[in-house]
Amino acid sequence: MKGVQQTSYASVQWLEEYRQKNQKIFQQKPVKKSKYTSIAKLEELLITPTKEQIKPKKLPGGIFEIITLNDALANKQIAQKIQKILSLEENAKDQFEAFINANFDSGFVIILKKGSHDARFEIELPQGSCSKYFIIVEKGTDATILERIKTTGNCLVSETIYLEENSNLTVAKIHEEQGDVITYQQCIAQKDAKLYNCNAWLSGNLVRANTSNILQGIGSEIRECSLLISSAKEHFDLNYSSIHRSEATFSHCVFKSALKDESKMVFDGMIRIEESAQKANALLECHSMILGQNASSNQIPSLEIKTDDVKATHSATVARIDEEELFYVQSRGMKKEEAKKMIVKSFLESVIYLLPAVTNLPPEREKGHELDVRHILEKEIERAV
Amino acid sequence: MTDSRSKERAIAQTDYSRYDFSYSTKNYDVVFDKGLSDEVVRRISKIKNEPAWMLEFRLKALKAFKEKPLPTWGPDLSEINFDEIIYYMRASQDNKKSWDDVPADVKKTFDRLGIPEAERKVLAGVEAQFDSEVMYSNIRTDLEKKGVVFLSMDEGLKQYPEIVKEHFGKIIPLNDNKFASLNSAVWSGGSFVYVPKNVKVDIPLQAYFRINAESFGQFERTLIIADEGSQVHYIEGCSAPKFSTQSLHCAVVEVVARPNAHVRYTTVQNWANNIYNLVTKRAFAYRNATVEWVDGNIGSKITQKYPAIYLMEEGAKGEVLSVALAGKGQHQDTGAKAIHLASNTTSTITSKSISKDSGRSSYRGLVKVVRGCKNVKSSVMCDALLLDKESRTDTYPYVEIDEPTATIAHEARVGKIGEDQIFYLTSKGLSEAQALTLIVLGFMQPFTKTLPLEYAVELNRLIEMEMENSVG
Repeated sequence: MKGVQQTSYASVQWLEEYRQKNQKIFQQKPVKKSKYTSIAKLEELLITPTKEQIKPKKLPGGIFEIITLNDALANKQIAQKIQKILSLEENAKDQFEAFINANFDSGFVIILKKGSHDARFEIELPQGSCSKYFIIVEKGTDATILERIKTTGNCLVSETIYLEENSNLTVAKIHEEQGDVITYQQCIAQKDAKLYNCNAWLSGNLVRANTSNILQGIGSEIRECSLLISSAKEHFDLNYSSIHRSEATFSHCVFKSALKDESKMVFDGMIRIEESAQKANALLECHSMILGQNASSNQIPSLEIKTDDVKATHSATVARIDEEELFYVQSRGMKKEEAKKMIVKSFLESVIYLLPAVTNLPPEREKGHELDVRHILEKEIERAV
Repeated sequence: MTDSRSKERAIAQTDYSRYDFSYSTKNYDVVFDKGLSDEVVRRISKIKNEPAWMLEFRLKALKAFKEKPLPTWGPDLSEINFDEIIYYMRASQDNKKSWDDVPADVKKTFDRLGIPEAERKVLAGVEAQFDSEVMYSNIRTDLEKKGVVFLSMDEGLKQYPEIVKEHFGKIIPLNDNKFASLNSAVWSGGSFVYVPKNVKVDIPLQAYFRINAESFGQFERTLIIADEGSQVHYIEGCSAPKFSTQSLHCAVVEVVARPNAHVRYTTVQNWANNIYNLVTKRAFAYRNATVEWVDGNIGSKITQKYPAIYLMEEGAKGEVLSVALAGKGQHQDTGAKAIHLASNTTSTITSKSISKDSGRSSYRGLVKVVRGCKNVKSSVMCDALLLDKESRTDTYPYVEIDEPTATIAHEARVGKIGEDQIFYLTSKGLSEAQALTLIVLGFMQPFTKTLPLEYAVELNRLIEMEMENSVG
């Protein structure tokens, strides 16, 4: 995991096939143009990776092991699992994801076993890196993941989270990017697995992100609770999809954004219910608050439903700070600016309180409150607002 | 009440196979060869004896059409062969003001469709288009005296060249999209409506579009201008017999609602299910004007239609209400656009769709608020019903907001008919099929409610027909 090292990924044949498949998609360039984001600008980011390895740094409160991708592929058991995960992934929908899949040259695997509880880590993505990492939650495991993604330069990253049968997982992913970043996340839930996934976007220059939540097994549930605070001239192109592949699956996505200054946000959300997913229940909500005079919000919450016995709803709203709320808070003695901050904060915070409270902290980490991801997120929001 | 009931019954008893018939085209005055070229465009223009600017407009549009690729999104249109379509044909010259003068075959057609009868009963004016040309148009004399103009587009161009030149192709430019370009190049027929200041046309004007011939393309072009403080309700109906080859219907509708005007445009589309229906509709609403698009799509193979409202000045109001029924082999790709270009404007979009027998319906919409337009309010509601496993429904709503004071809400629901609803109705003695039909009719009611009674009844009847055999 230290320094630049020669990758041996190429020697694995199925991985080579996976790369070739993605290379083909990349060459077709499925996304030609977008109304909201300059595709040419994003394509400029697709440069030959520097081979610099990403190094996750453990944060306090986590008990877990990090395995480099090389070591993982050398281990037959883990390699088989990764092969299976790749076969369950959604095919890359755009050239960016395909590029990462075809060219990633660093990465790691985290396996959460029964009793391992938490994985808390921070990654500083090096300039020009292209990486893919896997988190596997084994059967019947309850776990929490806290990720802080930091970058200063341009980079590409993709994450795949795999939940085996009956596992429960809460993910809080805090993005504090400085440069231009393309980041992908796929979450695959097997039978009766439950996932709470929170992406908090706090900064970035030009960011393109995609989260695909795949409800693979019967009875799986995924709740996406994401938020965005943008300022200055930041541009966020966020894509989300819930893909229901099995019966009696449930997905709920709430996305809230507060747009300051001249920032621009695109949220392209999609609920796709496949023919095999009878009795699926899906919700997609996106709410934005425009704070800056020159901020803009574009939302496209779409539905694609291929079978009949389902419930699918979506809603989208755009609004500013409610004058009445502001007046009320001011009448309680707060300054206007303070009152505004409070309203924005509470608007965003309502999302993180959809996440479950962490109840399974081991006794040696009694400082429970400090380690509660909700508490951490709350502090981050306060700082960003 | 009893009166409306008996009317309802009378209409319900009529023969609804009446849409599926056609007459031979051998008595036609003019039938073009298949295919599209500069020559075809020049010939159409020459037959119509048009001014030079119109020919120029057509040729420019043809160039734009050839340059534009087929849209890469939405339904698959690659099966349309533009060289296998007849772009102009007409049964006889001139349109008539009396049904007695209309050629026998054409008159028979419209008689069977019940148009003359409807004119006597519920309409202020009627226009009937048969293939390329408008064969009949008439308007109540008192409205004519007040200065209301209701003519075919060709006649409008002859009699009011200045007004037409001022607005024609200004709301939907000739290079707006591939099919608007095609229409601009080969348009024929359609309506020209002008309502003078403060004139209220209290009962609807109607245009009926009929395709009679095979492998034919109908390209009507409609321009409606409602002057300050006026009010008008325009209804269009469409039908065609079933042929083995595919036909194309590609219309452009431009509406101008000047300050305080109120325009409602209703469509009841019942094309045969081998017709491609690709329509561009757009309205400009000025200060305190209201524009309503009411759109019912039942027929056609593929429909692509997204009525748009540009809210140009303060206080303008836009409303779109659309329903679609997608049956076997059909794809209804409909939606609405509201573009807010001024402060204090509002828009409401309600879309309802039903998919059955592996049909597919889509809502594709756009709400846009440009920077600097204060206090815009917009709400969008999409409801979709799926009646069986094989059917499909999609929703693609685009919301683009560049303004902090805007209040936008969007909501969509997809579901199937609840077992409990069916159970309740069957327990009251209805058969399952009747219960299903009743629920579907109830689902459509916000739409049918806006139609004059005769149309509402007819629409209900059409839906009932479509719903037959939908319970296995």
